Amino acid sequence: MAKVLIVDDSAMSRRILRRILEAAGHDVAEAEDGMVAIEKYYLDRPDIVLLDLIMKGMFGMEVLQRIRQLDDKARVVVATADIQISTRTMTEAEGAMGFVTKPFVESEIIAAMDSALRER
Amino acid sequence: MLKNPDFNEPILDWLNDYASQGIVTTDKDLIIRGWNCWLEENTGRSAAEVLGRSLFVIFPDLVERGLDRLYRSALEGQISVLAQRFHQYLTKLPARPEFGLAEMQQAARIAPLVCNGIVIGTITVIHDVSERVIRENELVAAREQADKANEAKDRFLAVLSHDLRTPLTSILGWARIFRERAGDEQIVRRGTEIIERSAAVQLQLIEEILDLSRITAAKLELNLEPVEVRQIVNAALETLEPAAIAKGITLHRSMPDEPRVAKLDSKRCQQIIWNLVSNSLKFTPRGGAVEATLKYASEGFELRIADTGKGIDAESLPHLFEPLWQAEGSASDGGLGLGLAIVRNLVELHGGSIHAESSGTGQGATFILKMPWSGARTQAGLA
Amino acid sequence: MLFTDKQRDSLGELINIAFARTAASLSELSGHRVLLNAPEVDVLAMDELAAVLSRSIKQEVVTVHQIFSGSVSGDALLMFNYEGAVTLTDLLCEYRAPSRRLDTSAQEALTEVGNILLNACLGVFGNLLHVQVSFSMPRLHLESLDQLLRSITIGSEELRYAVVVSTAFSIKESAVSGYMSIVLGVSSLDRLLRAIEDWEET
Repeated sequence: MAKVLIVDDSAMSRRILRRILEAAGHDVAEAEDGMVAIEKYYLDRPDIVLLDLIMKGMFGMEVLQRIRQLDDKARVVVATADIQISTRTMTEAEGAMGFVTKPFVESEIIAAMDSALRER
Repeated sequence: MLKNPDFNEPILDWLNDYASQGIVTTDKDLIIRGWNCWLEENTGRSAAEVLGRSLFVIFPDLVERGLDRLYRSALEGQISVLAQRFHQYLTKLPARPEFGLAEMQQAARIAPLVCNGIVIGTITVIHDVSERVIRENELVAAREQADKANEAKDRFLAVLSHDLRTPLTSILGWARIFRERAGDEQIVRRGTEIIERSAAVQLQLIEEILDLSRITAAKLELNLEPVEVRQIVNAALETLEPAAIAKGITLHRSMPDEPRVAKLDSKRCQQIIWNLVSNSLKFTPRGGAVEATLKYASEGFELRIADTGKGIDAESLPHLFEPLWQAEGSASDGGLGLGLAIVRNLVELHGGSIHAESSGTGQGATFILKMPWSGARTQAGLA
Repeated sequence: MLFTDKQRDSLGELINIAFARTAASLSELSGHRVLLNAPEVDVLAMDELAAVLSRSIKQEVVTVHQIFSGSVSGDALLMFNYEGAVTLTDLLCEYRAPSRRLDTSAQEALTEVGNILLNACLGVFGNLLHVQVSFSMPRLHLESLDQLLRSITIGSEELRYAVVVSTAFSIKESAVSGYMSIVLGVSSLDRLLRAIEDWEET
């Protein structure tokens, strides 16, 4: 039971994630771009952020960096279609706690969430 | 393509024997079902050896390079293209010896074999594109060379137009002054001097350019005749005596007692020696010395021009004889810096050699000219 | 044909996934990090397509073309202007000096790139949406935009639409932009959009 912030510019992805997370009993908020995401993080302090990398406007990497700057205890799980290993390494270097790829597999999402929540 | 069953077999037989690409077909378990003559010739394995065996056993490097996933995709209906630029080859095969390549460069396609909407196997077609790759690389190299040559020409023209303009602006300037101050004797005298000098510089520049262009267009012809070597050296040194005296530089000469005759172009040789000595004078300060030493040897004669001047640093030494290359701060003396380039060309036309030595800046320099007794070509034939 | 924002978003997300897979493949092939940016997806009638493409493709268009058939059928195209095509192949295969021409080797390499991209898109539709398609051999064309569009509209019985994605390939600080287009008949498009809705439900 956690407060989750979904950041993705695709309404469809947000709908799918909302359905998966609410079914697992989590409380879901949404942001459709980087600026809004950072604002919402600041105001609501969610327990976890599910972050897409490839967005119009501010790229996911920058959002990851800014949120971690804002709060070095922030838990961010990257959820993206980009499957290149170099991408994964870069996000880990910036402090991401998990990495799931699209298309979403329910069990993977839940597993990544649980593992991130258990840390700290 | 004909779907007449009577034609199928003969067509397939012909393709098997004479197709100019490698064709291997498998069933849906990736067991080899077809293997054409091209493959027999280029892999050294006969059809009998490979039919009924797994494709990956015959080509294990497919698995090593991760290309086996393309076959699994093919079984799902996907076609794959393998470009030579990305993969070099589908599987390692020896190249034809005449190409001088380590491996055969290949392009390939992997596709499903479909019957009644169901995938029943795969087909792979391999092309030998070695020759194409070689030709393309040659084209690129040739274009790069042409580009570099054009760049060099552009640079040359840029310097040229600047240096040719300078004396002319001086002449023009003074002509204008004359118009206004024609009565003033001093100005007229001074102006005339400068105009004369500028025009002479201009003329020399043009001569140098013409020389260089004649040499590079291989149009320069040497007028060879028997020439007494000491005479040429002395003639060149004499024309420079006044300049040396004016600059307070001592001009020494040391020559053998007997005369020797060589087959040379007298005028061009004087040009060579004049250029070398004049160059030394240019870079030697007041009170210094330039020494010309002539020696005979069995193959030819050697002339050393040594000076006590600025010297040449290690970095500049290899560039000395390049056209347009000029040492720092010498450009103001006029001249395009073609002199030494022309010298080298003329020397080489005679079948001789020239090089420079110097212990470094401030340590003076020595130019060593070696010419054969008779080894010249009459017409320029530069590589 | 009404194409809603919701549909545009969903189609865009699926293409996003296909593009990301393509970027990963190209990254492996070239040894460099490859980015295929967030594509802008639109559905246009054929004459609108010509207008949109001609804004950035002036003279010749270099096209990798694959025909697909099955429960949805149509033409899949990856299009670049000539310079973009040359630049892209130079960026991806850098062991050779850069060329200014699209020679045969470069055309072949571009065909592979197009094949990877088009397969990824049609593959996403196939795997996720369970929409069965089979593909033809990819072919490279070099011609005017008019000629290209005419050749793919000839002989079609029903009204055709084009799903158009404008995209940029970013490799090593340089970007090459191009268009991907999936041209299908109205019934195929309809089936595709419904399949996407169904997929989201599960």
